[in-house]
Amino acid sequence: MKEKYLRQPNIQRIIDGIFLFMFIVFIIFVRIEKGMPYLFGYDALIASVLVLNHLAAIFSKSDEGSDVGMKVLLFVVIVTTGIDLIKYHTAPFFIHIYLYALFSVKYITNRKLSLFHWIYCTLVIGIAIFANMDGLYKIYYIFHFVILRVGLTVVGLYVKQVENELYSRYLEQFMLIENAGESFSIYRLIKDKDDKILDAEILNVNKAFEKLSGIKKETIIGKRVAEAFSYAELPWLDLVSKVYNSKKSFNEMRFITTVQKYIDLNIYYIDQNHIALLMNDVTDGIEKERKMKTILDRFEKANELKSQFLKDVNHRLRNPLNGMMGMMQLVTYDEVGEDNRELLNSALLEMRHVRNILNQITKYVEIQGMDFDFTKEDCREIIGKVVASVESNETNIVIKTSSECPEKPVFIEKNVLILTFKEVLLNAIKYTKDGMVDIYAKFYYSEPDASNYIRVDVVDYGVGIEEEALKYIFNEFYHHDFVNVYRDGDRITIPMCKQMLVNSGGDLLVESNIGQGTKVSIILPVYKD
Amino acid sequence: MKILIAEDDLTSRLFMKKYLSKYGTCDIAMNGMEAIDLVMNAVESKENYDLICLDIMMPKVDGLKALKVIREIEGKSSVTPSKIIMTTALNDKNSINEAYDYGCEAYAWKPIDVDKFNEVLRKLKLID
Repeated sequence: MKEKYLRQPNIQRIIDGIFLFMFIVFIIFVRIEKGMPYLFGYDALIASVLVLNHLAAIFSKSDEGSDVGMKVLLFVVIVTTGIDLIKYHTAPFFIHIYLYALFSVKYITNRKLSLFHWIYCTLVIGIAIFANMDGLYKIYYIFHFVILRVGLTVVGLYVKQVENELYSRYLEQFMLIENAGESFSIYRLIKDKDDKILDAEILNVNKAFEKLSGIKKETIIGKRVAEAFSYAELPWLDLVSKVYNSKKSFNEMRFITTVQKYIDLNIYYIDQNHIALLMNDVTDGIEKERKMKTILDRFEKANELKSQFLKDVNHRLRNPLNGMMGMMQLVTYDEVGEDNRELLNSALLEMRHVRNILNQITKYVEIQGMDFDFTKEDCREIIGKVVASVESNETNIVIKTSSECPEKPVFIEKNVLILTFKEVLLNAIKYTKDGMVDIYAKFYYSEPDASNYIRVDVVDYGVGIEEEALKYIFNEFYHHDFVNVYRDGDRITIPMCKQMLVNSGGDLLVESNIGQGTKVSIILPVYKD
Repeated sequence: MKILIAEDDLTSRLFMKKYLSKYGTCDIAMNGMEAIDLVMNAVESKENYDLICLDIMMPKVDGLKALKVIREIEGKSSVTPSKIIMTTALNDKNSINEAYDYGCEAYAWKPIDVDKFNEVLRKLKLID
């Protein structure tokens, strides 16, 4: 696990660069020295392969090129070393060269190889010191191997430190990811020479992935996706290619028949060789949403049926009532004896009651089906216009808008305000003394960025409402004066006002004192923007 | 005054006939199709109706369609168009707006208030 996660292409390239540089220096030194006949034999071959390998490692986008080069080099070194040992009985100098190539990031922290190389360098330096070599050559050898060994040690320590830091960070993240509720998996991309995605190797998965897929990680780690999930229904290769080419993550929610779940899929681009897949099981949420929608649909359907029923009943009652009331209205008093006139009047009155109830039902159904539309309006202007429409010589209406009443237009349900305010005002005018009605309009601001509301208090100075009657003031069918409650046109009742205001997010409040008057408060939400 | 009452409900029909008989002669139609036929005959004989009371909800052809056709018939002839008052048990604003668009003069919501209906007749200058 530790080796697989670690990828340090930049450090690999630095080390390869150092080796290449040192090898070139060696070749140049040898060339200057001349007299090294075997440079043009195996040495040249190995040197070429070594150089090419390092170049491949430096410029290659994947590890595969470098690995192939390593294998070729090993083969060449083994063959040439074998030939030299058998034919020339020389020291396996080329093993050293191979060791150069071996010291990539993969092996630089390998203790056994490091120890071996320490021993090897020490031996070579020892031989160089005591051997009968040319002075300059001796110095070069000693210098070369000391620098090499010291350099490798320093780099090795650095790589070790980076490795440890990365590993501890990886462990932290891994523990988080391993135990996360979301299914997480990480992949190494397998590409062809044209950089086209062919497949992906599964590097790691967490527990949630095992639970979701029903597959143990041990059975799929290291395998390719096409092999591990041969039954995969997603066009995953296309999705991964899309993410790889755009370098942007991809998100989609779909139903996976294999696991019979709704999965929220996220594919993340990590780097040119890796992607991560995050999957969230959202089946519960989807099902709850569906159930809620079903319930809401049923509720709306029931509401529609109720409204339709009321409309039908309303309609069916009106025709016979039309006949009855009509006939009664055509009976002239002269044709009816004095005793029967009272009966006739009572019958007509009760029919008018029934008509008014039907009118209330119609209005009620209208309010139920009302669409609430917020438009930008000047509240003071609305209040002023309504007052102007009902004012007369007998009225004494005073509007006392507070400084907090919004001067600039705000978003408000205009129709609701006009209808309810007019109804409340007409009631106040009817019941007040000397036509006096006070109107207070105030703007309430609760929290920044929250909805605000306007409160319009309509105060009359009439007889007030008894406490007992106040309890039922919002009861639609409690009214004892049906004849006068409903009039033609757009008049609505106080219970209807309450309903409209509540439906649009507001409210209607009533306070009353016997002998002093009544205050009716209209509360309606407003929005600044 | 020549009056046409188009109403499918028996009691309402009787009431309207009894009520409007004092203002003129009343013809009865029980649906929109009959109303259209009667208007066509009246227009052909150059004695168009002065007042037509059309119920909106009627079988075969409803009041709105009948209104539209009646106005088309009148438009193609040289007769004086009749005053049309729609009657309805439904408080359907869409239907009422449509009726005004087709050219009715007023509408009366059932149950009809005789005093208010008389007021409308006066405004239309059909009665004094």
